[in-house]
Amino acid sequence: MTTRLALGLVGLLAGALAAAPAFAWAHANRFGGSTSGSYSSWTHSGRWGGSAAGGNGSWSGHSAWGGTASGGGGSWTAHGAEGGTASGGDGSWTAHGAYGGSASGGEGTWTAHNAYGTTAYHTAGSGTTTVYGTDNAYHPTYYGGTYYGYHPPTTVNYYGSGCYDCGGWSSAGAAAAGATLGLATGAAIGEAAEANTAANAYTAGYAAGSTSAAYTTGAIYATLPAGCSPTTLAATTYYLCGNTWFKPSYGANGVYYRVVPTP
Amino acid sequence: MTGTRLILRGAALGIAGLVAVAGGRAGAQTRRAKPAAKPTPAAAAATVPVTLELEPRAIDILKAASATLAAARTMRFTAVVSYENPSLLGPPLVYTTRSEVTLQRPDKLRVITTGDGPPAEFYDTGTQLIAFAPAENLVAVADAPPTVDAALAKAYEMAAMYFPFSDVIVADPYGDLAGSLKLAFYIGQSKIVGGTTTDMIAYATDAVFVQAWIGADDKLPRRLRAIYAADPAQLRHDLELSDWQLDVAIAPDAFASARAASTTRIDFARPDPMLPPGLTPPTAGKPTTPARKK
Repeated sequence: MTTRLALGLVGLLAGALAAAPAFAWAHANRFGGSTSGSYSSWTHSGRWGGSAAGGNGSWSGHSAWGGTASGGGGSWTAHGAEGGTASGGDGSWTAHGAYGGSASGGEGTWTAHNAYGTTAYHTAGSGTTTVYGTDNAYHPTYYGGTYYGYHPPTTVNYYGSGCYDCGGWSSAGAAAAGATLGLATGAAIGEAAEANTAANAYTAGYAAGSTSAAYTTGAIYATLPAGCSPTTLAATTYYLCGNTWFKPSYGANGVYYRVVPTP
Repeated sequence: MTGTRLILRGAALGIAGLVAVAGGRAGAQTRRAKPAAKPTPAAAAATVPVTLELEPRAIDILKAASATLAAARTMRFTAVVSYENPSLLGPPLVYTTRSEVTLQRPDKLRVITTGDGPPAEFYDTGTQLIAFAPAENLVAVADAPPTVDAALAKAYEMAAMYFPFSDVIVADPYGDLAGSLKLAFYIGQSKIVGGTTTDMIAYATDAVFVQAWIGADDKLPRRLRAIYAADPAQLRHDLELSDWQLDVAIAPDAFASARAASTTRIDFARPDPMLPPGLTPPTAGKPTTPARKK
């Protein structure tokens, strides 16, 4: 199983290089690859130059584009041609993208970070994945089909904490090296997290589109789902949407809604 | 290993792959090209040392614009902001907002953002800061500090609110900038931008590079274009300023909204990411170094 997982990760790292070689490796035999072996050893050659071999409890693989992987004895390592790496063993693993992303985990719990400051976090048994970043929730329509959900330019995570006098472009301290506002990297992680959340909601028997399981505490949204009821508790306005509570606030030049625990 | 653990581990590996793939996408925009075997003219040009100089002609234009703006007791203008955000495919999309700005020194400001995006109204009445969302019919209210400059700072600190045109409404635009200026130079003139003749200059701090078009006669800024050093994608932020009116009479009730005063109140709050209660920020894992067996 470890071998299979490592090879899968190598495929993913190879995807960082180019989609074609990863695809070619995955479908090698179908498009001209060959495999041979005996009871204790085996080799495989892909049509596009990738190869893999193993035996006696160890294995190695090489993609035509420079990715490599090897392992055995319960541990493994993988390297992408442009610098991505992954390794694991004994129930834990880590991965580093060539451009700054990283992930690590084990026993069902994992974290992932992109180069721009977005973090995804999953705890074993929680059934949900939480993304700390404004990408996925705050900018839900990346393709611009409708951009009601976006706000005017903000300083959030972009100008960082260096508000020297908040005077404007020239004087606002653009100190933060990690810009998370709408970057594709975070969006990809966000999508994965959303898919993960949806899958868990589906498994739990919730109807598709149900609001009760699709939102994670602390996440923010530019708009509310349909069917919410405003409620005032202790002089604070909330919206109850299904079983999920949202607290509206004004920030970054617009109203946003944060998922909060039941007040 | 249970089936659940296998699924979770598979999902984690998928995330790791996404990190690598997405990192590659984003990095493709910013990573430096591998050295070519033979230097190209562009590569040779990039190696020419740049002397950071504050050209007097550019500084004079900046100071003149600043003095013109600072001397105005009242001002009105229209600000059209265009800013890029990457699409999922990587190439940026450009979004645009339009705001009508009214200022009365020292302590009154009105910014009515009509579109695109959600409409918004911001008022500094001199005693209150009011942010009103007419579509949602929600309003946030806080005490106002004594000056517009302080109000801008407070809006940022408490709610991450920020107006790109703040550069032209602060009390001393050049003074705010002067301490951090590293480079300024004169580019030439344009007869296109703003429908008038403008002087083009560029200036930079450690944080931002700005190109500005400033009216040759009236010394009013017509366009500013910014790129941030800390932005790995080097996205462009463009600000067009038009319909300038200085020292015009402004009705006393311009800096308040009756509708905003009577609607549901919410809090000002920064939308920065936050962790759920009881959860500490995760830290990036350190790669293990398992023995490689061949």
